[in-house]
Amino acid sequence: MKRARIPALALVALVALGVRAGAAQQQLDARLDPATRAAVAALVDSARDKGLPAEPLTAKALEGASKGADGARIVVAVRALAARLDAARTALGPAAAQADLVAGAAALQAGVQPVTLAKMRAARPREALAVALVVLADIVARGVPADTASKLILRVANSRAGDDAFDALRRDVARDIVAGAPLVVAAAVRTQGVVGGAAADGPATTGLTSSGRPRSP
Amino acid sequence: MPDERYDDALIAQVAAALREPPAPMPAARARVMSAVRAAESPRRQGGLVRWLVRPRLVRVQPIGALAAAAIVIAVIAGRELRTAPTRAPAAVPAASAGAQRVQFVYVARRATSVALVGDFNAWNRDTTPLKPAAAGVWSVEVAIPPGRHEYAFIIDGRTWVSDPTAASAPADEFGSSNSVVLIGKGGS
Repeated sequence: MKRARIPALALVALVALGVRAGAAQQQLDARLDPATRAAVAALVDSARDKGLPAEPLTAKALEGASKGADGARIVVAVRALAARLDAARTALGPAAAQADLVAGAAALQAGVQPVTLAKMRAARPREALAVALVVLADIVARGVPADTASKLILRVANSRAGDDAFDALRRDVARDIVAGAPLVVAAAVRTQGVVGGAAADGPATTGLTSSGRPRSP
Repeated sequence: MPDERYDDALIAQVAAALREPPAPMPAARARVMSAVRAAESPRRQGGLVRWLVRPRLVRVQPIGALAAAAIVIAVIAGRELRTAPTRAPAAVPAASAGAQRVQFVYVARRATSVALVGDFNAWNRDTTPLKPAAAGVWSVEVAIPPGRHEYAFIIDGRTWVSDPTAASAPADEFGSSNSVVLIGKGGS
């Protein structure tokens, strides 16, 4: 029975994906003018050919339409997102989950450098990075300089802290900022709190060179 | 690695400098409690607070889970800003595989309508209206598939606002900022 259920579940998943893709296409047809629709479709097809997820691109186009952006602006936004997804995949690796790619693309949009994503992947080669990347982008969006936030998040990534620690870091930094603490100070102090005694064991290394390539053994 | 040494030194300096001053939490808590007391009449406060703090089973992963704790702060922000959203992730499994039902809550005392838009509803402002409850609290529950999703609220059909209790997405190309919700382990 188990053998029969696996393909059945896969079929259900495929059908669900197909339904969602069809619904997205219908939305694009209904809400974009023909020229914009054609340009977006070309970008989506190109991304799909590269193995990049199409859903975030159609969603970005629909977001632009809903926010009243003109066609040219929508196309620019979709093209930029496709580029960021590609860069995120390069940094995070071809096996990165879609959520990691999308979160990585958002971090890049916030100003985080690709090498930071690569270092995070090296620090946690088999773990989902979406939470850490969302927290990184959030801290940058709150005003902490991207290079500072990147170094702080990498410290947490290099520790044994789990996703809960990233979440707590985000929450505490946000709380401190609301309470009036300087941005960088809030982020640095809270990171130190998460990392705790790890620093006493010496600086953690990510196994990457400064260019983001793996170190030789 | 000069940068790492510099960072360590900087962090140590900052930590040492801030070791003595009082933690920021008491001030924040006082602000929150003061605003809570001011926000509601005694008769309604009990019901609203009970509703807000009612235990809920939360399965949304870390980013979403923080909303349960942040909901009180968001209510306060709502008082201060007149329109401030809160979101309380709920744990009801949705019909489609891996989807979770998430409750979004927004406090907007003077709003006549609040809508939820996000990539999970194709950014359609008409499909997911929030329903008003007591004291300007608007809420809606939505099934969201696994992954990282961006969303925002539209107040009175024209004003886009992000959720101050949730993680922020970077400023987008369309002139407004979104919030982020992660569904599932690591969002996938």
